[in-house]
Amino acid sequence: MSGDTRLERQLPLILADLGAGPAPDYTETLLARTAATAQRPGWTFIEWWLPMSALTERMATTPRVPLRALAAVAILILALVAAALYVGSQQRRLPAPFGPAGNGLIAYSSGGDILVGDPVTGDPRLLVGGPAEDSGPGFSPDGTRLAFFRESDLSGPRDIYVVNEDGSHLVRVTPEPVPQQAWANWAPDGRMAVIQSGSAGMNQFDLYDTTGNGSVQMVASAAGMDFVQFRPPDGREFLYRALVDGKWGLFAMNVDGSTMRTIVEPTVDAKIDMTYSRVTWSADGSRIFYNRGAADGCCQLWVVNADGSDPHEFVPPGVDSWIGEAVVSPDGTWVAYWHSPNDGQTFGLSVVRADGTGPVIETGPEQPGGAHWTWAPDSSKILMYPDDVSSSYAYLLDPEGGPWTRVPWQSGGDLDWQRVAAD
Amino acid sequence: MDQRRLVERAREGDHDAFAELVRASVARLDTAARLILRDRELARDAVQEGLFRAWRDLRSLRDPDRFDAWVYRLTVNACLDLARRRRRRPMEVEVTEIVELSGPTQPDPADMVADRALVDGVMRRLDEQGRSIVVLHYFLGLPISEVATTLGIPVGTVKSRLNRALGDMRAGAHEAAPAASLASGGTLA
Repeated sequence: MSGDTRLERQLPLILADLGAGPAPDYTETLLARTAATAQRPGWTFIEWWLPMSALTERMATTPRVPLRALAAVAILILALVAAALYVGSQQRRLPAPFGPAGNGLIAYSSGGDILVGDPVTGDPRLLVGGPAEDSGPGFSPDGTRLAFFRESDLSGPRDIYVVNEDGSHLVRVTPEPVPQQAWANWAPDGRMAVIQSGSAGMNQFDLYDTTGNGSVQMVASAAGMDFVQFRPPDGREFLYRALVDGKWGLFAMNVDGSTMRTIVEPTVDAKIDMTYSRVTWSADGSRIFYNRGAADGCCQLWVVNADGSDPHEFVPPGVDSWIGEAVVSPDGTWVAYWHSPNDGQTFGLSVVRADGTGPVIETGPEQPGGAHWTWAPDSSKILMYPDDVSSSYAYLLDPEGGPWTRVPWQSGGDLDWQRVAAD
Repeated sequence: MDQRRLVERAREGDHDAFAELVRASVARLDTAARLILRDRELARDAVQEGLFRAWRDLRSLRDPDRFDAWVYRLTVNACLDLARRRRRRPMEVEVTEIVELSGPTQPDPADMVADRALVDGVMRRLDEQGRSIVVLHYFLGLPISEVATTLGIPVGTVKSRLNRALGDMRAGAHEAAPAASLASGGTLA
C-alpha cells in the first residue's frame, strides 16, 4: 500500500516509533540541577520590556511595520550602546595572544597548591588551595585565566581546570580525566589544546572549551603527533611533528583540521626522538626553529622558513656539543637556547639575536642538568627553572648577560608569566 | 492542575510546578532530540540543556500558553548547538531491531515496517536542521510558521525542505521493496 496522504498521515506515528527508546532516566538529575539554580530576574530579559509580538514576528511576507515596537527597540539599543560604552571605558585592556606584552604575576605550584607571586614586590598569594594535588599552572594568552592539572592519584589520569586570575570561577575543562602523559596548553582563542594517546599508536589533538560546557573539537590525529605550536600572528595554523612510516617529519595544519602541509619531509628515524622536539615559531610566524638530531647524538638548533624552504643550522657549528630547545622572545628580538659547551659536563642558557647575527651571549648560572625557561612578556628577562632536584628556586636572567637573581619563592618546576596589556 | 497554572506557578519560582511540567514533557522531548541528533547520549544532553534553560529563563516567557512551543524551541536549539559543536566527532549510531507493530488501531504492519525504513532512510540523509524541520512539524505538531520562527529561517525554506523530504519518502514508497526484505534492516540512534 502506498499513497501520498497515507504516508503523511502515518508520519507522526512512524517518527514516534523511530525515536522511541527507554524512558529518560535523567529527569531527577536534571531537576536537582534546576532546583539548585536561581531563575533569572524578569527584568533581565528583552521580552520583559518589549511586546512578545515584536520578538516573535514571523519571517513571513507580511509587511506590517510595528512602529511602537521599533521605537522601543531603538530606545533599548541606545541604552545598550550607552551601557556598552560605559562598561568598555571601565574594562581593562587585554594583550594580544602573540607579541610583546606587559609583565604580570608569575604563577607556580607548591605543595599541591597554585600560587601567584609578584616579581616586583616578591609577595606571593595563594590562588587555589585545598586537598587536591594541583600543578602545572599556565596563564591564558590574554592573562585573565589560569589553567592547571588536578590529580587525585599522582600516577593516574588527571583533570584540567581553569580559574580566573583572582581565584574565582573554578571550572573543570575535561569531561573525563586525561592520561598523565597528555600534553596541554592554551590555544590563542582561549580554548585548551590537548594531545593524548589514542588507539593504534595514534595521538589525538583536541581543543577543549574552557567555559565548562564540556564541548570538545577533535582537530586531528596522527602517529606520534606532539609539540603543537600555534602560528603567530593569528593562531589559525598550528605546527606539529609526527611519524610517517617510522620517520619523524614536521607538518602544519589549519586549526579547523583542514589543509595539512609538510614542512620538513619525514626522514629522521623514530629512535632519534629529540628531533623536532621543542619546535617553535619565530615571533612573526615566518620561520621555525627546531632541534635536529643525528644517529650519533642530539641535537643541533636548526631553522627553516615557514614554507619549508632553506633549512639550515641556526648557530654555526662550534665548540658546543649540544644546542637546542629554542625559545623566542615575545618581541621577536632574541632566541634563548640550551647548550653544553664542554661535552655534557655542564649546561647553560645562551642568547643570540633572532636573525642569527651578533655575539652568542651566555647568561645565568651553569647547571649540572637540564632546565626549562620562559621569557618575560616584555622580553626583558628570562625566567629559568633548573631541573636539578636539589634546587627549588627559579632564576631571573638578563638576556644581555647581566647579573641574575633568584625568585623569592620555592616552587615546583612549572612556572609561567602572566601577560598583561603594555603601558 | 492545568498546564497554564503550572507555568504561572513555575514562573513565580515554584520548582515543584516546574518538575510537574518537566515530567509531562521529557519523554516527548527526548524522542524529538533522538530523531534530530540520532545519538542517544547527545539527545540526553540536549534535552537537559533545553529544560535547564527553560527553568532559568522561564520569566522571559510572557504567555504561559506558549510554554510547549517555547520548550520545543529551546530543546531543538540545544540539539543544533550540540550538533554544531560536535560535528567533527564521529556519531555513535545505535542499531535497533525493527519491531512488528500490531493492535486494532495500528495500520497494516507490513506497510508500517516498510514506511518506517523509508522514513528512517530519508531522515538519515537530512542534516540536523532538516531533521529538526520534520520533527517540529510532524512529530511535535508545530505549524510551518512556528517552525520557521523556532529555527529562525524563512517560511519558504521550511516549506521547500519539508516538500523535498516528503517527496523523497513518497518516491521511496512507490519503489518500495517487499516489506519482508526491509524488516531485517533499520537503524536508529
